[in-house]
Amino acid sequence: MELLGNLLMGLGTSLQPAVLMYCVIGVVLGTFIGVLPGIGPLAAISLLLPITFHIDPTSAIVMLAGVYYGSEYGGSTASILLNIPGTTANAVTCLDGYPMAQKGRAGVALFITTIGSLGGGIAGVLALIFAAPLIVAVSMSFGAAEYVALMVFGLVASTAVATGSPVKALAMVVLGLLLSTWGIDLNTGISRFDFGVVKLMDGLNIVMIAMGIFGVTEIMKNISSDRHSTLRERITFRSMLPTRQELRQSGKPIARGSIIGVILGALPGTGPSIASYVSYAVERKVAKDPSRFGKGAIEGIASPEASNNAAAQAAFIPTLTLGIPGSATMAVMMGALIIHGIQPGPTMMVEQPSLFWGLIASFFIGNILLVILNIPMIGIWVSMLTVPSKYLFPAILAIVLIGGYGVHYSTFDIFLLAIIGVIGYGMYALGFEPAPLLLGFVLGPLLEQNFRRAMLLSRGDLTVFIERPLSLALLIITAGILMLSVWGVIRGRRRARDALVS
Amino acid sequence: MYRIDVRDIIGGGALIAFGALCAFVSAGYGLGTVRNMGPGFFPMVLSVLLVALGLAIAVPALMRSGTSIEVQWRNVLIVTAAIVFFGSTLTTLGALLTVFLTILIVSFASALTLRQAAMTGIAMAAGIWLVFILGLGMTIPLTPWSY
Repeated sequence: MELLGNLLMGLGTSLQPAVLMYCVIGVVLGTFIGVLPGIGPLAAISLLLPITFHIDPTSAIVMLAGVYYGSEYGGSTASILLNIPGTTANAVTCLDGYPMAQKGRAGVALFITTIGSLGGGIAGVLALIFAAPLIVAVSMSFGAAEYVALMVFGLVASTAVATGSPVKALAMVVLGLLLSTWGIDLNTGISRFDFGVVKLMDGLNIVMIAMGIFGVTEIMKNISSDRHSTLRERITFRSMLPTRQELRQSGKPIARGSIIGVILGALPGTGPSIASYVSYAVERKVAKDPSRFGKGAIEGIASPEASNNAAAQAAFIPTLTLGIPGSATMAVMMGALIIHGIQPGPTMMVEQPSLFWGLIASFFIGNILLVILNIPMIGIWVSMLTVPSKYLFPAILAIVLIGGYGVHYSTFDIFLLAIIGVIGYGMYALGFEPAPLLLGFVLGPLLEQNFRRAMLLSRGDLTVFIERPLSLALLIITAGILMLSVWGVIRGRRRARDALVS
Repeated sequence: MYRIDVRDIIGGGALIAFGALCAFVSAGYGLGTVRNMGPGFFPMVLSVLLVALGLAIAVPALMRSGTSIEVQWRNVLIVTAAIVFFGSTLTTLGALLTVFLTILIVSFASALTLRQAAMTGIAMAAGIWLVFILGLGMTIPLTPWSY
């Protein structure tokens, strides 16, 4: 019953006018970002980081979270109507959503994806509510060695599922870890890698890095884009109502998708995108008539939409309870908390209960708000799809620049943004994914601190990582993932070489 | 096109160079022992790892052909110029004018006509005033005369 008390307290926190307002802003922005192809939640959250400086931490994280799971609601809109995914996790929804629209069932598709998203979202929040206290209790027995193993596992896991070469992703993780050491070492007070430049003594700022790589670089990549779409039909409320059969067909896929999403969302490395792909594949496997898929099968949109929302909510589980972000987006959100002096992890539930439970309560409120935004108000979002994309990126640049200036009221930061943006573009041109870099950067200080502590406690004995059972288990899994990745790379190369030869 | 993968050689090479540089600097901070780690210990470990990964990327690239590097030079240049312009003139021209002009500059990389860019510039200047200055209370000078 302590749980109920916590939830009520959380509800009280999240219903305060200030916090509630930011929840509304968050989910509205999130839907907006999700609906518009070309900008995703990671970029949006990075752009909002400087704004969080000016508001209190609870409101800040409630808003950012709203953007994150809100975007998973809106993302299906463009997938269904334009065959262009609103966010990467909605790519799968194009496969059966667009054919449904072509058959005149666009409204129903939008309705079902919203219901699916609601189901998944609620499942994710419930998982969070019940799992969080359990995980925190278990983590009490974690020592520094276990944390090191856990963080290494999380970092390696995120490289295994990254698009592109896992070796490059791993290099990005290590680079991020390395860059996190720049600045004053809390242990000894020595400023590392400052090269004599005073401005670097504070180290690199996560806000600048996130905005530079996910904001400026994206602008550089997309500034010439010229998508102008026309919509053929109006979406009326009546056209959205599904038939009884369609509702029945969607029920089990939504349930299956939610479960898959919760599991994959909670695991570091996998997130809404993978969850949506997996649940689509599962639906095809269990369907009585798989040939319907790709032509407008309602299971093909209900399940992925449920699972990407479930994954988005469940991603908060490791982030809030253990301080292990499962993705770059979670890492950036953690950055927002760290900026306010809050270290996510097991202690957060105890030290910041109103923030912790307020955030969870805000998820309930947010999901309900999103249903209202996505069904009765769907017309607004649909009309936004007709706005040409060439207006978007200059506008984003203005936001990036003002936000970046507002962090320290320093024009030096603006020039830094340009530099980071160019470097980020260089990484993209050379085929490197920036997301793992951010993960490494956020986890770096904690990893070093725990490694140092583990070595101190074991008096320099490295075997401690193998002696302690949980640490050993995690490291074995990590090694397994690494070997699978390497095997996959070798196999891919061999196949490419054979194809060239034959 | 070539018999080697230029992209990965450059990428791997950059990592090797950066890792080597950081390793060199880390050594200067004192490594200490495993039991009593100096400030340079953790960075050194990471630098060595980075060099190793850089090699793992660059060396296989010598033996296979790869994808070409595609850079949109014009876009990168224009966006950078717009940002540099913003940083240089914000404190003299004030936020409203600077935002407007920056959008005009960056619009050369986009598909916007000058008129559309001007409208976007005005809209963004107004929006930024509403959200950042009125809404969040940031104290940014708005006009050239606000000094």
